[in-house]
Amino acid sequence: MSVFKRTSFWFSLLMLAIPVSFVIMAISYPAKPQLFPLIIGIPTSLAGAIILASEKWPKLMKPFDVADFSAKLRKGADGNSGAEEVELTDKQKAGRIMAAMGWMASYITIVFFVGFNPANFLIPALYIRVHAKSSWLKTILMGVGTAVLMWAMFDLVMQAQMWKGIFFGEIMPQI
Amino acid sequence: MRPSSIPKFGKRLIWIWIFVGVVTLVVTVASSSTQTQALASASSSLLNLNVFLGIAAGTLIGVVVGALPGISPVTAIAVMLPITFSWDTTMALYFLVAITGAAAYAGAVPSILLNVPGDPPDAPICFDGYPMARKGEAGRALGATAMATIVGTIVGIFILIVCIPFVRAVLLLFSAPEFFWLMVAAVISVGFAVRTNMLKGLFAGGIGLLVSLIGFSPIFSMTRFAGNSYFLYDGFELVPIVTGMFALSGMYLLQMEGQGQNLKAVSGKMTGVLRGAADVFRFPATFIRSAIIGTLIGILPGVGGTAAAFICYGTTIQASKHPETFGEGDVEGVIAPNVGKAAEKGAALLPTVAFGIPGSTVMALLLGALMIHGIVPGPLLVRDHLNLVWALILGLGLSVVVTCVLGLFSASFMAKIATISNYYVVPVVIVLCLGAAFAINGNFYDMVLMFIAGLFGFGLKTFGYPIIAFTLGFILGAGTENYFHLTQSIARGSYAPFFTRPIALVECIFVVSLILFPIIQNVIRAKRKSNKMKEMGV
Repeated sequence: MSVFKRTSFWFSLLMLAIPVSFVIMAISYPAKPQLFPLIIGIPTSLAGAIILASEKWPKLMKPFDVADFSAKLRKGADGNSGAEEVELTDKQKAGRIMAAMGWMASYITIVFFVGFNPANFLIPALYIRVHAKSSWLKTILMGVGTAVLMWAMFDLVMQAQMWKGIFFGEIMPQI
Repeated sequence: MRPSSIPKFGKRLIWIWIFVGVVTLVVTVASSSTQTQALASASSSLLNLNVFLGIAAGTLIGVVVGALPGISPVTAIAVMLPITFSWDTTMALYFLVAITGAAAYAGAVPSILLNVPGDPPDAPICFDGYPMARKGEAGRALGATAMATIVGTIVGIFILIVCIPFVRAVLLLFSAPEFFWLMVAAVISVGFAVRTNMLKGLFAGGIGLLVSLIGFSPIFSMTRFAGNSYFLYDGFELVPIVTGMFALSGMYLLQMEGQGQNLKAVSGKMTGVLRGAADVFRFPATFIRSAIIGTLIGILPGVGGTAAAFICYGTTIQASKHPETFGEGDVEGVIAPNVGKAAEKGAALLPTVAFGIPGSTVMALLLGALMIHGIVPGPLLVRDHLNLVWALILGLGLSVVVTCVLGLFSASFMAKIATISNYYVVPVVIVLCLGAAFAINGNFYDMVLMFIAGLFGFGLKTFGYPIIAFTLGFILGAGTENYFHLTQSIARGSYAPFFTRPIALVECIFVVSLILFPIIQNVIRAKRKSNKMKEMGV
């Protein structure tokens, strides 16, 4: 497979971009405030560059491998578990990750518009309805249970002022 | 020695060992008035109803997360961290440490009754625990687990208590350059200790250090790396980052697993519990060896309980005169990993409280909890907040003992917890985490930050970067920079104190050798391998 087609390549590139941007930004600061970020940023960028290069030449990472004493035993443990392992294809894995991301993003969106209480009911209820194909009674109980738990923890115990939603008069803070 | 005399000798050895331990402990604590005062302060808070309820709640949560496969105490502490924000620091620590203490026993129950580990360190308990349960010895296996967990934790705690006075004395010799090197050593040693690749560990730690520098710097009275953002002015909050990276990223993995497993626990009467508990003392060599291994691994930063449990199991088989019985339901195979992982938990507190170097991921999160309560994690903790150290010790000890004792009567209930489908766990954790992110500061963007941190953490896990290295860099970053500039200011811009003060020089050599040692070792190994290949004519 071409190195550019690997997800790990793009992730390594993204990771490398972080220390490099810090170094570039730090250069514009006066001598003292830039010192520590540069001391950390330059070697970190170098390390990132080696990791990225190892996507093409994996041997580059060999000197940095750490011996894992328990790895052999752990490998043996995999076959011992009573859990039934189901092998997923990459496409299935990606689909499930996207689903999880989707649920989290939906929760944040619903909170943004109508606040926490409706979102705390809706998301868990819909989640088990869609994934666990639960009955309507279980679905409603799950939604109500989670909403009550959240209210008890945050409103009652922490006494936090929870977000009520843009539709109910909240104003977005300045970013 | 005749075989029948081995248990007798073992019992005597154990009692002598316990006696010497208790005497040392009492002398250590009583000889210092500061220790006694701190212990009194931490113990008196136990009489407070809120603290008592906090420990009870932490223990209950620990039991649930310990028994649930896929949800570890790390996730639970990450989720609960924000909730303790408004609590008294001592109470918060009791609560959080009770979660980890209770999970130690609870995680072993599904390993024995279902052949599914509650947490990764419980995996080797399946090897012999489950065969024992199938042979009708579930009660004995659970009894051995409970006793092994209790004595293992006591050993770890004992080492910690004995070491505290010495560590305090050493820390009095430290000043800014020594503290600087200590914090650098913390980040680097975690990068070194991770079981994937050292460079990835160092890289993740470096990024953590850099990210911690975002925002207003009181040293220079200027904002760095924040642009004109109002949100970034104070830098990133700890809770959205840590909870997102540890808890939310774990939800992606659970979602990938789907429903989870369709499990059925081994049923039958729970008999032989006391026999199992006594078994721990019938095999003193196993117990002492595992306790020593667990303690040493606990002191090493970042290695964690999984390695401790597996290594203890492996060495017990190697040392056994009847290795063929392991895997068929040998009680020694249950005792060794349990003692190892319990001793690791107690011992991991030592580098955490003494030097601010977390012995495990859970300990890194406890450092985060201290930060949330305005206490600077690091070497000053054991000097200035000894009562909190005692709160950690008492909380861990109490939760372990309570869970083990009560857990023997509720093992089948714990096994039932393990059969809960992932589909009921994932939405609750998502909602709790994101809600907690908002509740800390009442800032909507913290939820978005946590969402991004969750994705980032999932990426790190997937591609073999250790999250703990990033987290530690993030927690210790600001302090490291402070000590760096403080040293320079005292020396009027000179770098000399970093290398000329004796302790700083030793620390510096330690840091350099930490980086170079594995590299040189790997290069030599590769050279030997190629020479061997040449000799063989390949």
